This record gives sequence, C-alpha cells and structure tokens, in this order.
Amino acid sequence: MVNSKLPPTLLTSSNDEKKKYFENVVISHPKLNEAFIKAKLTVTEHKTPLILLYGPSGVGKSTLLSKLYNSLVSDVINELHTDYSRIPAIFFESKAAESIQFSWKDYFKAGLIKLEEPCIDQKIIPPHLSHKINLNGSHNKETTSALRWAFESALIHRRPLVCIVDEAQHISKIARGSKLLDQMDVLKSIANITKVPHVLAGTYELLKFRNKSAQLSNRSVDVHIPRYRAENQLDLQQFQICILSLQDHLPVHEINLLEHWEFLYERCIGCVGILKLWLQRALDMYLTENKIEFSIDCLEKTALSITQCSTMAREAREGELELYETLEDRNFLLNTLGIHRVNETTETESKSKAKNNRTKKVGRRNPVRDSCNYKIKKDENDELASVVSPKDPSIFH
Amino acid sequence: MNLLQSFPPRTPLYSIDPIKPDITQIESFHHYIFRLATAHCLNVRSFLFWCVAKGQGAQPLFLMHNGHAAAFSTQEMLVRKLETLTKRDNLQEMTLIYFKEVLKDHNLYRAHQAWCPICLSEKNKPIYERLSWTLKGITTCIKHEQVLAERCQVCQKKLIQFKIYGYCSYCQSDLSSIKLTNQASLLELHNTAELILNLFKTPRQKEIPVENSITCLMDTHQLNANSLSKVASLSAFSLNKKERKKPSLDTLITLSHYFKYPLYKLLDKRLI
Repeated sequence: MVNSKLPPTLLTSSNDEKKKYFENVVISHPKLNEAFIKAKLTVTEHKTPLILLYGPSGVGKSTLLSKLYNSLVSDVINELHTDYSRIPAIFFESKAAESIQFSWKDYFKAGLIKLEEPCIDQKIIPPHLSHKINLNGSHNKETTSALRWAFESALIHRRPLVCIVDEAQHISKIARGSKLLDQMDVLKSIANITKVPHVLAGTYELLKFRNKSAQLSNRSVDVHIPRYRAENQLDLQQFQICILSLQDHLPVHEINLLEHWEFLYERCIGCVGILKLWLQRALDMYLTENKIEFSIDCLEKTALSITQCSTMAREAREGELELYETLEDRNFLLNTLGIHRVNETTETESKSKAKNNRTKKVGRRNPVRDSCNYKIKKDENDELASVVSPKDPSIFH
Repeated sequence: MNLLQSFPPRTPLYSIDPIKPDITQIESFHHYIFRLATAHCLNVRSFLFWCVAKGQGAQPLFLMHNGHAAAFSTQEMLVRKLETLTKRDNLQEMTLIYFKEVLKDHNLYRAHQAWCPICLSEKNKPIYERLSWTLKGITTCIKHEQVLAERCQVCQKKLIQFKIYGYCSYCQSDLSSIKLTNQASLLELHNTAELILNLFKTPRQKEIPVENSITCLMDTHQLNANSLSKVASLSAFSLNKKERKKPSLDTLITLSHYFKYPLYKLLDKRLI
C-alpha cells in the first residue's frame, strides 16, 4: 500500500530526492503547537523581555524556533517593502565555549552578523559613553563592551520583533557559580534597553538561570515543550498519531510503524525530534542498501543504543522533576511570606513532641558557658559569702 | 535547522532621518555622517572608508575629517554612496550641492567648527551642528542674536573634527557654556538672515541650469565683464565668462547688493 500523502512522482524519483523530501518534512503535533501558540503570544502581545523555552534534547525546540521565526517574518513582510532598514527577526545559535567560560564576544558577533552589521571587527565604544565605562585598561573587556554597544544599537535601529537564541544553555558555562546571575542580567538588561524580546531556547539547564534571580523570574515567561510521557494515556495516543503522521511521509512501499510503537517509544524516549532523525537514518539505510521492505530490521540497526537512551531519559526526568512542585515547596513559600497557616500545626506538633520526648533529668544544669574571669569570680564569691552569713562559722560559736 | 523564510534585502546602513526642525535649522552633512558612524559604533574614518569601498572596490581617496569642508565633488560622491546604502533620497538637503553648477565651493565652507553656545545649551532639544553654521558667510545665530563661537572658551583652540559633539576635542570642556556670549550687530544679523533666506528657503527645482545669471545680468544692463567689475568693485577675472569660472558666494552677494537683485535670482537663472 502506497501512502496517499506522498507526492505521486516521489516513489519513482532518485534516492537523494526521497531523502531530501523526508528531511524537510515538518509535522505539527499537539505539544509543539501548544508551545508555539504560547511563545508567539508572549512575543507579540505581552512583549515579555525574556522567554525561556526549554525541553529535553530532541523534543523539537529548533523546529519550533524556525516556525516562530517564519511566522513573525510573515507577519511583517509587507512592511519590509517600504521600510528597507528593518530586520524582521534574528535567529542564531549561541556557541559552546572552547575555554572554561562562555564568550560574550562570540555571542555579540553572531548577533551582529545576523543584524547585517558592517565592520564588526572595528567596533568602538561610542565616544560620548566611553568615559562612563570603567574597563580597568583591559583590552578584552573594551572589545566586548564595544560589541555589546554595537549589538544594542543595532537592535534599536533594526527593530526586530524578536531575538531568538538557540542552545542558550551554553551561556550558563561559566567559571564561578556566583557569576551565573550576572550572565543572565546581561541578557535581561539588553532586552530591557532595546525593547526587543529575547527567546532563549535550550535544555532544562536553562532553569538554573530562572531560579537564580527574583527579578528574572518576574520578567521572564517559561515555555515548556515536554516529551510524550508513557504514564499519561493521552500522551501515548498523541505519540502514536505522531508516528502515523511521520509514516505518511516515508517514501517507502509498505510499512506499519504502529505495530512497533513500543520499541519506537523506548528508543526515542517520547521525543518526536529524535524519532524523526531515527526514521531519517533508517530510510537512509533502506535506500542505500536497496532493501526489499522497510522492516523492523532497519529500525533496530539505526536505533540509538540503550545507554544513550538511558542517559537522555535520565536527563529528561531530572529536568521534569525540577519543574515538579511538591507540598514542601509550597510550605516553604508560605513560611517565607509569613503565612503560617500551613506550618502552624506542624510547629505546635513538633513543640509538644519535643516536650514529651524530654529525657533530661530534674536538677541537671543546662549547658551554659561559665564565666572564666578570675576577678569577677572572686568578687562574686565574696558577695556570696557576705549574703550567706548563717553559714559563717562564727554563728556556730 | 529548518528552512528559514527569506525577506527582501536590507539596507547595509541604518536609515536615520536627518535632524530638520525647519529648513533653516537643518543638520549639516558632516554631523549626519558622525551620527551615523556613532550609531554603528564605528569611528568616522573607518566608517567612511567602508562606505567608499562598498560601492566599487577600494578607492584611493583622501577623506578629510571635516567632511563639510570638502569639495562639492567629494560631498556629492559621499551623498550618493550614503543614499544608496541607506535607501534615502533626502541627504542632499544637508549640503549646498544643489548650487554646485553656479557656485564656487572654494571658501564656501568654514575650515573649522562654529557654534551658537545658547543653541547647544537648550534643554530637551537635540544637540547637533546646523548646516548654516558650516558656511563662512554666516556669522551669527538669528534665533539667539549671537555671534557664532569659533574657539573653545577654555583652551582657545579652533576645532576641526568631532569627538563628542558639544565638547572641545582638545580639553573636553563644554562648548555650550554661555559665560562669554557675544551679541551680534544689526548688520551681521541682516546679512545672515539674507543668506539663509536665499540659500535655504528658495524653492529648489530639479536641476539648476549650468549657466549662471551673471551673463544675463550683463546683457540686461548692457555691460561687459570689465565695466561690470569696475562698477561693482570686483576683479574682472572672477566675471570673465570665457574662463568659465563659477563665481564665489562673496561675488554674488556684492552683485546682488549693487543691482539690488535678490541673491537667489542670481543663483538660478530661471527665477529672473
């Protein structure tokens, strides 16, 4: 049975064309759509300075970002025919640092390239501002600062609707933990000054940022793209629909992927992005080796190893747990706010328990540090001697 | 990464509007270049070299720091380049290139900066160099009736290029200091007003005719170059049409006073 959704000439075309066709296929699934709607609304309507978009690796973050970018560009495309200076949106990837610290220089340069800025290597701090910045004579700081000014100025003049940064978890790569807050403050400050919302997309490592700063929690919106979880029946149904959608676009003759849905779920941990890449690899093998049918054999040979899947599943689980709020967390919050409604009972209970469990004997001293000053001690002893006159030996005479 | 939607090509430079509260207060081209370079976080020199090289490969061109003092040809080349790079069509307004065919550019612009300290000290208004301040013939600020300052009041130096506009590039003192303001005389104010009216407020049609109106003037009054030079106390050389030299602004002002003819009519033959 041939898939009716495939272009009619595709099955007779070359292997490269088939591969390219499947590579370019983008399926929209409920989790992706939900996150897309939230992200777009936050960018266009609420104008929140920072949007943190996180999810496990391979869940479809990059697909969502591309979709968001394309949608925003389409929104202003007519305006671009009259306003030749405006850049509708920018999308770049933050580089992983080769040293121990994240390089802001590389980050700003990547942004400036997308903003089509000339002479990036010759940027200077604007003369009217240079005297206000204390760089301690550091040339490196001066260059970074100049690039930052240039990036801010470019964002102000080019007026993009959004600045999308993929793999933003690389920003958290820093030498000292205390600096993590500073890293995020830089982005928050740029977003505030330029009034251009920043979408930072990455893995659950991004949550480190949000939880660090009170101001950041206030100024940022979270968009979570979760994986399809096996514990949830609805999630499983939706995952099976995703399998069917991808199957419809596989340029092969006969196939029924739904038969093997458990195996598919196991090796993609419920992430559609991983599943698509896997099917891409399997298709590649099927076409290169001229196999008769696209069987489970192709899938097994191209699947990720159990160790790889375990690592990904563990990381995803850890991230999900970080989002999970327990009753204890709530109690802690109420306690911090001074609302003892929840904690009062527990406190009184613990006090009464402490009373009942008293094991100390009567007449036993509390552990108190005694004074060790000789003079004071002597005076005290003299006073005591005068007060306790009955004990004076002369009485007995 | 999936395919990203493309959009029409963007201008390489920001399309910044010239400051123009009214035509008499229009920003100078020199200051516009400075503002554009600063917005791109570049110094003026590297910015101009990039602009020039962007069009037709690197050109061995000497670019003066004080762009307004450049010849009409250099100004015209830069205006064209910047108009292409910013997709604007109104940058020429900030120069006197319109009169390039009928006016000599030599001694037209000042070689150094001039400014009205009171204009610079006005609050909630942009601080910028006016085109009128760059002209040699304009010596006063009509708005505040002040003689334009030409030297820093602290170090007494003449300033050529901008480092931070509104501050001396040598001693960094504030140029808007109004301690030593100088009241302009009535004659100076009258001359400035006349120049501004004739150079800025006259309607600018598409292209000014190459031939200036002095020939027309000589024909009307039946005078030749020699006799005209005698009556108007001008050098015959400056009026000799065979030399095809363009008259200087001073010559035109003298003739306009002598024949009681408005200056703008002498600049554009079609207006006679």
